[in-house]
Amino acid sequence: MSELLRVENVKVHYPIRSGFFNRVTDYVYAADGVSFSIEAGKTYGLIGESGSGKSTIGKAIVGLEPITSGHIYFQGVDMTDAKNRAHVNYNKDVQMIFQDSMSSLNPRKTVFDIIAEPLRNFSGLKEDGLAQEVRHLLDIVGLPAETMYQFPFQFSGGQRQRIGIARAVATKPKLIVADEPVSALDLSVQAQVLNYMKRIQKDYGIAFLFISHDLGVVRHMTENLAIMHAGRLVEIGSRDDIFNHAQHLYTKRLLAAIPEIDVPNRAKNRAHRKAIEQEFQDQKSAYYDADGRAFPLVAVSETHQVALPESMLEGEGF
Amino acid sequence: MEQAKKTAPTLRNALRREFQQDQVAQFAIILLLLLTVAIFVGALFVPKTAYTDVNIMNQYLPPMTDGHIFGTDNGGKDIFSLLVVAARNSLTIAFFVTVLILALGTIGGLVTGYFGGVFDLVFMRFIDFMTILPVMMIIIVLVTVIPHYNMWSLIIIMTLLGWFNTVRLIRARTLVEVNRDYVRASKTSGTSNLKIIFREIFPNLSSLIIVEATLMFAGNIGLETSLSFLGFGLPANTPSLGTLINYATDPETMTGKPWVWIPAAVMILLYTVLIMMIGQALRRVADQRQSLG
Repeated sequence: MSELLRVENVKVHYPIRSGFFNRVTDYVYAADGVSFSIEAGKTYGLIGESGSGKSTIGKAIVGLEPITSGHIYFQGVDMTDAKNRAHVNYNKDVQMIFQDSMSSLNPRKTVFDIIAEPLRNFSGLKEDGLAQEVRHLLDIVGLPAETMYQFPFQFSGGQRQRIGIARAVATKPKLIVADEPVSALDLSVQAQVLNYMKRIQKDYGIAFLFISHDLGVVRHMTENLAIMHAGRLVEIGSRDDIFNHAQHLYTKRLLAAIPEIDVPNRAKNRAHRKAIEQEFQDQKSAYYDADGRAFPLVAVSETHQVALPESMLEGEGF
Repeated sequence: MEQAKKTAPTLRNALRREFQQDQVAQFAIILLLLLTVAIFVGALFVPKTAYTDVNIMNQYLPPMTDGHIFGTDNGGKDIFSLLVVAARNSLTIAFFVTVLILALGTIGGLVTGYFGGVFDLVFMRFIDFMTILPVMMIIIVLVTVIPHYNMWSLIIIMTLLGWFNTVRLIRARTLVEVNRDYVRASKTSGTSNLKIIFREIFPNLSSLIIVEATLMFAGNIGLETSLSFLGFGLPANTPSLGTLINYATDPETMTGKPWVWIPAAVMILLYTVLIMMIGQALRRVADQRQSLG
């Protein structure tokens, strides 16, 4: 498969200003040297705890977040510069689904205007064609065509998120960044929305970057995963690599934190979680450098990369 | 879905509901409309001679004599005709000043709030500087030094010195809206910045702007009449509510001939109170947490 998008050593730092002259005294390292690549038509999961910088990476990819340093290549062309992005209609090919479906839809616009917005800008369709296309898109996400002239607040959360999906799919993009698209939804509605996304992904061959803190959701949606912690990637691998052969301490801890409904073994599970947490606290210094940053990623198999220190690589015989 | 449709919080529905719930506001808006229509239509039938020609023989006639409903002033001019024309002039000035200030303030606030950065910093410091200037004094100075001074010069002067607070208000709300995801979604949909500002963000500020407009309108009537009262408002041959009230500065007229100045004072009071009553309802439209319905 061809490489669609490559993120190369991307850093996003926010200055912290303080003191009498409001000088920059320090930085928040929201993303600190992140590199990965996305192939056409495949699904990727980006997982991390709150504040780990996963949303920042997603926004940087679609061009909503200025990058401090590093590069994002789309089909071999550097898209870090906003001029380049505008020149090739980058956002026709890379779209985003937002977390909060209420605030991502303009309350003063009808569903038709919302979905037609990217089409108006990128496709050059006239009004008749637009109406037909919007009807088709609504059909894809399972909403009746009559809803076209209603306003966002007249829909439930799940329906609104499906409108958001329809808008993202409208220009037939090659990559969709989904920033926690179901975390604001009811559990019963989550599955429904996820299945729509999965079907669209398969039918149109769109690459998906699925940002989430919910490992269960990501496991359902994606075949490749990347784990992020404190602005750096700690482990990249296939579903099997991560869930069954996790190498990094943080990944293990994250996996242990998945809630299980397993009443007979409750005490055992809790003890296991406690043990992992203890291990994390004890060995933290070995897995992170002096500044608390994760080490650079090292390939341990063809699909699997882990941020392990050199000493540990020798020790485990890689 | 049907249920949602009925209580749709669109601007029009919210307006209708708030006015239905509030009898006072309902009464105020009807009275205000009737009064305004009466003034503007009535002023068409008042000949210019009615407020320019002096007739000493008819000086200070009390009300209801010789067909002068409200009597006459020191020049023998009919107070009722003067009142109608004065009210029209004052309202016209207040209207145009309000519209122009809102246009300038909204565009300024939206642009500076949306783009932010260095421009915002410099622009807002400029606005800060302008807000601390004593506006009234500057208007008085400008009015006295400007050649060919007329109603339009007054409107322009009042506008240019009055739009700073609106910028601040609109900018504050724009900063909130800019951080909502629909603006980000529009950016990723390839919409240009100008279109995002005026097609996406602007409609979401409409209720705020309506409230601001009503209160500002009342304020501008006040500002123009006080200028005219001080003698720096409209030129001498153009009556204004302020010039009518100015008659009360003469103690003799103030105590002995109240019909000369009371109608104008009542007119200003009536307009301001009615607009405030409507403003109450509009404020609830803008902030639905205060809604009565």
